[in-house]
Amino acid sequence: MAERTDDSRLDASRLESLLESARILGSSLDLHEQLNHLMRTLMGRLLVTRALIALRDGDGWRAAAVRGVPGIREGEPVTPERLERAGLTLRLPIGEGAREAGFVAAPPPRRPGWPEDQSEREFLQALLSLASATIENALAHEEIIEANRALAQKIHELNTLVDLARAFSASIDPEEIARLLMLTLSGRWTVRQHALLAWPPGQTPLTLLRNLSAEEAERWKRTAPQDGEPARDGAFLLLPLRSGETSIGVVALGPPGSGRDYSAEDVEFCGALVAQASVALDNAWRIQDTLYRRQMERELELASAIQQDLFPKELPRVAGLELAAANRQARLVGGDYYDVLGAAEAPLLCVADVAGKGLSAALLMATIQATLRALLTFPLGLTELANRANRLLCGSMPGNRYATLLLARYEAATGECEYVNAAQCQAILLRAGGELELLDATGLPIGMFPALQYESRRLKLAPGDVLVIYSDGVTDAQAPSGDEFGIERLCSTARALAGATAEQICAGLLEAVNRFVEETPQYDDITVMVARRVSEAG
Amino acid sequence: MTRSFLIETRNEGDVRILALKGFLDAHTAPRFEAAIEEELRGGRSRLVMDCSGLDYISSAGLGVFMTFVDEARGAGGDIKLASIQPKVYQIFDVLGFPALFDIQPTVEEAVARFGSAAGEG
Repeated sequence: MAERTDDSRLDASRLESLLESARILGSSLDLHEQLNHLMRTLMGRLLVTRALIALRDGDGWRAAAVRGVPGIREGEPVTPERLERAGLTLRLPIGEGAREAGFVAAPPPRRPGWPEDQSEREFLQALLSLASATIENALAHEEIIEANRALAQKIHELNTLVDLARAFSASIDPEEIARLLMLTLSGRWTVRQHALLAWPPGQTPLTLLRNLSAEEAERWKRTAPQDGEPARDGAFLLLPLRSGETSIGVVALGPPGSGRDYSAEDVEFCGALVAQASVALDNAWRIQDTLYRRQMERELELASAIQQDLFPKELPRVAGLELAAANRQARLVGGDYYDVLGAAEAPLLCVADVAGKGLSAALLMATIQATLRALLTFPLGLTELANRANRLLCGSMPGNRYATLLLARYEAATGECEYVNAAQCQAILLRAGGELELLDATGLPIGMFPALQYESRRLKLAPGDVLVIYSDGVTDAQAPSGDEFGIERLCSTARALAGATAEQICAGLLEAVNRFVEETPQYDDITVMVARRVSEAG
Repeated sequence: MTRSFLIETRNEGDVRILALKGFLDAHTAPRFEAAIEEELRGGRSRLVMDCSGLDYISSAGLGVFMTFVDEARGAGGDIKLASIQPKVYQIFDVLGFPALFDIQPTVEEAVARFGSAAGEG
């Protein structure tokens, strides 16, 4: 009778336990919770102080919950040998046959009556088959969570690509593009140390560093992968920046903050972002090139307009003297200037060549003109005029700027001429009788040394005498063969034009240069000024 | 397509709160970067990002946090994140931010994490 009572009590406790387990196991999708419950129930029923639940992991088993078992930790693989070493000789399968999701391992139960107690075995079997269904559910749930995480990550990656593509397309600033790329990479992989180095040909190099010194980053310039493939340098991942087939830079990423190294997929995605940035950078550099060229062209157009405005619209009439001048601007280089200034009785002929090109050269020309005009309001001798002009221009010319200048003051009454040649080309004096003299330099260019004292020379133009002043663009003009026009050719051309008017000589000289150079592009400004005394002034 | 991103700042004691609103993506990240830089240059290194109005964050946005967190900590402060919407938190989570950043459910809790000095302002 007592036994029956015990039996019925036991039955009741088993039923209660099963119901409770069904409720708990069914109410949660949390695998950990389920295993804990199962563990507690089983240890209580079997009266064991040690137990382990192993779940299927590929072809083998993995410890999913461990209580009091020395030498086996959760997450570790479980083998029959390890179970035996740990003294866990009881093995109760969770689920059956091929659907066996795992098993419970424990030492021999201390439960009285075990292992003959058939009812207890049946109870445990029921409990475990109940657990097998819910564990499978929980595992599936975990898989879904994992899949969701993977999906969220993929979506994030896709968004990142779209996001960057949009931002890149909106920017033409290489540095901005580079910064965005590095922000994105450091955000995506929680990277603390990173560098971007780019050395595009013909462009300003780019260097972006985060928590790295320039010296540390310098080595990647040498070790950057040349084949376009990602490479490793210790903990750093190196990704090449490419322009077409050429390596023009490298992105170096330090270890991810997660502590996990870059996976193959990470490297691939990184590579895609860097490749996308490469294209954007390449485009931005090209655009900057174009913008720079366009700006240069605009500047040259402006310079050319300024220069044109500086030339006198017409030359003054001087008694007994024919004057003619012409200038042909070169496209890119050149800063020639000519003028006839001052009073008609004693005009100042000047031909200058400013070093440099473009806007700054044009502005310098304007300064020279303004300086000479201002000084001409004082009654100055020619050398003093040159000295003062030099001193003033030294103060207003930036650093390495200078100009060559020939100043010739002509006395209409006498035909006398005083000149200062500040390193300008040798002017040609062609006498009516056919003799030819060259007027050498009498000093250094203006604008270099403020304390210079210029010397002058004098000559007298007789009727029929011709003075030819010119810039080096004339003598340096090149034929397709590479030969230069030269002073001898200039002299013989001038001699051949003897007897012609100043206008005709000027035109004839330019025409000769034109014929000589044929189609060769003109590299420097060409300026010719011709003065021919026609008669005694009257 | 331009989506707006706004930053509103306020002080809570000596903790600076930056309330982020809208879309923090590659397009708007440079602005956010400039804002944090300004805080750090101004000597304000105890920063809490109120993310309750943040609807989206891209990797570039996350990169801004990475860029400045060491500097903020080096200056004795931190960049703490608070009140992140679940959808946005998922991104933080997936990319491993919880291991590197102090992320709190509310701005108040984040401010409190800076310790008692926060209240003396």
